[in-house]
This record gives sequence, C-alpha cells and structure tokens, in this order.
Amino acid sequence: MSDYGVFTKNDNGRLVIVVVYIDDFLVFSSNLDAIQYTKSELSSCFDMKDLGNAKWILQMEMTQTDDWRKVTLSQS
Amino acid sequence: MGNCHPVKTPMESRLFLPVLTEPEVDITTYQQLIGSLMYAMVCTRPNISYTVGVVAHYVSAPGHIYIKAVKCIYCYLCGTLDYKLVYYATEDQNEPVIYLDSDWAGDCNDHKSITGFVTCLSGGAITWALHKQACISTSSTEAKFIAAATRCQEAL
Repeated sequence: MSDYGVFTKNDNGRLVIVVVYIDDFLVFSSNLDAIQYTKSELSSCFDMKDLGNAKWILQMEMTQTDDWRKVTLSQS
Repeated sequence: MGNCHPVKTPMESRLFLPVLTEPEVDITTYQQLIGSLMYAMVCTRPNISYTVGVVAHYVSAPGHIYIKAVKCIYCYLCGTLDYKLVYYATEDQNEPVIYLDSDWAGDCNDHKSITGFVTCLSGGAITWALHKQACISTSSTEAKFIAAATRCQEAL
C-alpha cells in the first residue's frame, strides 16, 4: 500500500499536474495562469515557498530549454 | 574513482562470474559499492541496469573478480558523466513505447534467462528494469515469449 504522489486536474481542457514528494512539489501545466492559480490556492492552505522553475528534484538536476520543448534529467 | 580511466562499455562481454561459497572481500564495502550504483541506475541510468543486476546477484559472497567488474562500471560512469535523459515535446499523439528483449540462459550459473525492458515517452526513458525469469527456457523463442507476455501483463 502506498500513498498517491501524482495529482491531476482537468479544468476545461486546462490540465494541471501536481507531483508531490514529502515536502517537495512540482506543478506542471501548459497554461501559465493555471500554474499561478494552483500555486496561490495551495499557498493559501499551506505555508510554502515558490522556488521558480524546477532545477533539482530528488537529487536529480532538471534542465529545460526556454520554450520547454526539451527537458533533461541528470545526476552528474 | 574521480581520476579513473574512462571505458566505453560497463562490462566485458561474456564475462563469467562464478558463485563463491566464501566471500573473498569485505561484504559491507561491496554492498556499499553496489548500493551507490543502484541509486544512479534507478534514477537516471537505464544503461547500467544489466551490469548492476549481474553484479548484485553476488552480494552475499563477493570475490576479487566482482570488485573488478564493479570498478569497470564506475569507470564507464566516469566516461559518460555528460549523459542525460532527454525528453522532447512532440506535436502528434504522445504514447508510451515499450522495448523489451531477453537473452537465453544468460545466467551462467543457473541457466535462467534475463529480461530487460525500457518504456519511453517523449523520446526519453521513463521506466526500465531488468530481471531474471522465474523458469528455465528451452529455447530463445520461449525466453522472448515469456519476456513479452510478462511485460504486456504489467503494462496493462
């Protein structure tokens, strides 16, 4: 038995995905407003810090191009 | 290991690793070496799954030859430090693609076959694993069929 770690919400075609690992969150969406809305809703319930674009997750380095068409993961 | 000589492959091909009854080297050190490799393998290194899987079979009685094999994997990692998992955005329907294969009687001690698979999405690997099949196959066709059947079952 394990807890869920990925949550999704489909709001009229605007898909928001929230990935949770203990006290780290990642919020994904193709719509920037949807991300902002999700973040403001979450911060009204929890005390949290916005660290901007994801750089590190689970000790893995995450990089992305400016247009987000290419994402890489590495540990070196 | 920071200054080691980089190598092109993580393991010699057809390397024979015998089963030992008594450990020749310190078990704790060996297990720590394997543990660090597994950490890298699980997160971003599908390319060492097979070799780590092979050397991890012998954690209870490791010998000098295993230490040599493990060091070879570290040398390979040193030579591939700039390798990353890359995911691309695609315009068309984005569906996961599964690649799988099996050898035949790949384990030189109990003659069971070894299966590996990788699932790719957006051009990058998302899940991968290697495991020894539970039964002994009498042909490579049988081994590959078992691999495909098990993977399909898990994918569904």
